[in-house]
Amino acid sequence: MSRLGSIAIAAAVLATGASLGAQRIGRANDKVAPTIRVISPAPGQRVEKVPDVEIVYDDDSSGVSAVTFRAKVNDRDFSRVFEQHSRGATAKFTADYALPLGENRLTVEVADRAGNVGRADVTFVNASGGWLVVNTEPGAGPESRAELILDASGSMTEKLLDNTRMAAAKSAIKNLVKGLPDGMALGLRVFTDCAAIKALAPIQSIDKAAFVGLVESIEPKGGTPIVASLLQSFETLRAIPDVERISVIVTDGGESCSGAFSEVIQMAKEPPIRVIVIAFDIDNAGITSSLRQLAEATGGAFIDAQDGSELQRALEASLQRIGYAVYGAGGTLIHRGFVSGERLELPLGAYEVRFGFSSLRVSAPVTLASLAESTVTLRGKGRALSATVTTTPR
Amino acid sequence: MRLGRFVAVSFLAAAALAADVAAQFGQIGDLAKGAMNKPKFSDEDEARMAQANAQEFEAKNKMWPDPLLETYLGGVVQKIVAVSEPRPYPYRLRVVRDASLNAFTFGGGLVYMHAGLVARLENEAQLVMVLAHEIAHVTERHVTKGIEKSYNLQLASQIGMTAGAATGILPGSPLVGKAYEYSMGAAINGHGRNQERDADRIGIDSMVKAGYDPREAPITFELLLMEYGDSGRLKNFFYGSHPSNQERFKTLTDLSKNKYGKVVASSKLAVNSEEFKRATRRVVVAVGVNDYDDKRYNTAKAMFEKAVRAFQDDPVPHYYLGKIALETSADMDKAIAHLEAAIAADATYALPHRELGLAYYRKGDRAKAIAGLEKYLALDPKAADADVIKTTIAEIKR
Repeated sequence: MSRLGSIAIAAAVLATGASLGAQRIGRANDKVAPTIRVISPAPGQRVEKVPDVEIVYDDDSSGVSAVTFRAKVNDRDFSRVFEQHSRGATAKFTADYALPLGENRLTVEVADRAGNVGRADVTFVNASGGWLVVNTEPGAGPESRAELILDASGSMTEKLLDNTRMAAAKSAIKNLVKGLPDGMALGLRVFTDCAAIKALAPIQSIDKAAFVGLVESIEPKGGTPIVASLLQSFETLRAIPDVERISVIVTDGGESCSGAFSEVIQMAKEPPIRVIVIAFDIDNAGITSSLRQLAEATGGAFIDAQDGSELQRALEASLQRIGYAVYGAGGTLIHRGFVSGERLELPLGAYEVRFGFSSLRVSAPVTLASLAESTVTLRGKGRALSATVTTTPR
Repeated sequence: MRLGRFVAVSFLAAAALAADVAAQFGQIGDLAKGAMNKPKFSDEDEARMAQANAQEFEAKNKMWPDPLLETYLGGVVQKIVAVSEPRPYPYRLRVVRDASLNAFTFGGGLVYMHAGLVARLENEAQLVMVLAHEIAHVTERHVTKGIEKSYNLQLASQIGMTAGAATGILPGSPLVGKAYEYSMGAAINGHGRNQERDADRIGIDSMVKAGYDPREAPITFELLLMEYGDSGRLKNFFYGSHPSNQERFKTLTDLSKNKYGKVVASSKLAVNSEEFKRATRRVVVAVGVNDYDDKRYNTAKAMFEKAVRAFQDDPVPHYYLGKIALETSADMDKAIAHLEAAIAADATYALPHRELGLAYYRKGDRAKAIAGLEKYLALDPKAADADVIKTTIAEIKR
């Protein structure tokens, strides 16, 4: 609903009121809109903490109609946040209503009971934080080995949009493989039942055509041995020395073959192996929660994919991007993601950026300055990795 | 969720019918005058009678199941009670699942508000006025005084004793049945003009003492007529030509300007809170749906607009606003904007896709009309009107 539209509606509602009321309190003669002043923040004010917003309004004639009050910041309606009193309105912008950094425009409207609309606006600068960007130099990163585990249980035959889950998964993997860099080392493991887990492609430089052919040959049936397949994957990865080891599992359900996730978490510790779980079209909060816990306990990641294109993006991120996490004071996890050059808006303060490797610890402390952009860049190759920080005022 | 029919007369109508009631009661009361002057109900009697009446009322009527709302309203009641004349029992407020505009008390600290009235109030100050009015009936013992005045005092005494002796009593007792009869009569017709006048004056005083802007008090009464007065019957109930209501509005306006003028000028008095908007949101939507189902489109629209202001991302009020625009105006862009907002809030909500398809059809955009209707069927293939929609799609494709 547009701003003008909402006020017009309010005015119309007032106008539809019985003329009886309007005559009684002299509304018919009220042609003057309420006066509105924004007391805080002051026009152009630069604030390092978003102040309580204080607005004063008044209408000497028919009186302010409190229900018509509208306050928008950058066209987003914040009216509900305001407490209204006999002289105006106030609001506290808590973390739930975080404002973007930089210039913000507050617009206020309120009508009187005769329908006259008053307006005021003020622009202020929110300098309560800075931006954090996490990047990698081209080609930077450890040497890694990954195995893709594909769930080919019976449930993968279920329909997903106009096709089956398995058809969507095959299509996503084929598209993924086409885009992988030549020479990338990737293995393929498939399970079709509790006791039917098979390594279809060894972890070595990928033969794209052969890999796609193997994927095409998969026929889904049976149960979902997540634990057993991950443990087999670990055995294979463990034999490869001095690399970053990753198991990426695509599944459309929870463990159905009596495996215990605690065993996976224990076995992933030494040598460290990260597990990335891609939950494919799972509509069960209990299952996704346990899969997320499994992934995060190994330092890996949990990705929810609802269709084929989301699955493809999740696979690309898992195999080609480097994960990272941002921690705040006291080690509180603030954000987790894959390096993509995205800009995070964060409050002023000290943070630590940790890159998501299992066998290496690469991190950088960052102190965000007001309206400044700090970039953490991963440099180096193999096991000689480091992170540097540069800060640019804006 | 369907609310009760829009049938009752509001607490606001008390004075409107008070003259007849008072006259009738007065005749009965006159017979007893001189026989006894002191009230026969003790505080304990009143509390037990109120409990018994509440038990009977709640057995016959559905309550609105919203713990968040009841908790919030309970907090507001406590603010008023803190500045009111003390009574020796705890207060309890319950919301009745009824879309009509009413609030009443059985005495004994038991107050009821209809969902329809909660939904239609604009702000917390207006809510405080309604509750302070009802609490004033409690602090002034209007229920028991009314019974004593209305019935033979000997009977009133018996009612008191029976109610007092009977915990977990009723229904079945003709004596306490009389007390219930009186209480429900007062709930509909008010307690009599003088008592209603007292409750207004005490109510606005409590309102100011609790820190609320008294200028909202007369508006509480007036807006319920003005903003929702699209039905003539409502207007007759609330204002019409009843001089008592005009007097009521004038008295409260004068009090807010004169007696409380200095307080208003020198203090920052509360009008509305975020909590009011949050806590009343569900009941506002439910009453809006009720209004829509009864084809009271103006009031339904006002309810949904209010709900959207409180929570922009709620798909249901957007859906209904779109549906109302589609059904009552030629402004398809407005209908489409609301329906798209509903879909943006919840893409799996099937009904807005159906209406969106129909809105685009009326706008002459066949491709988008088909897309909307097909999406509706995809999301709800077993919809009751699935066959009709399939036929409609086929027609549009021709």
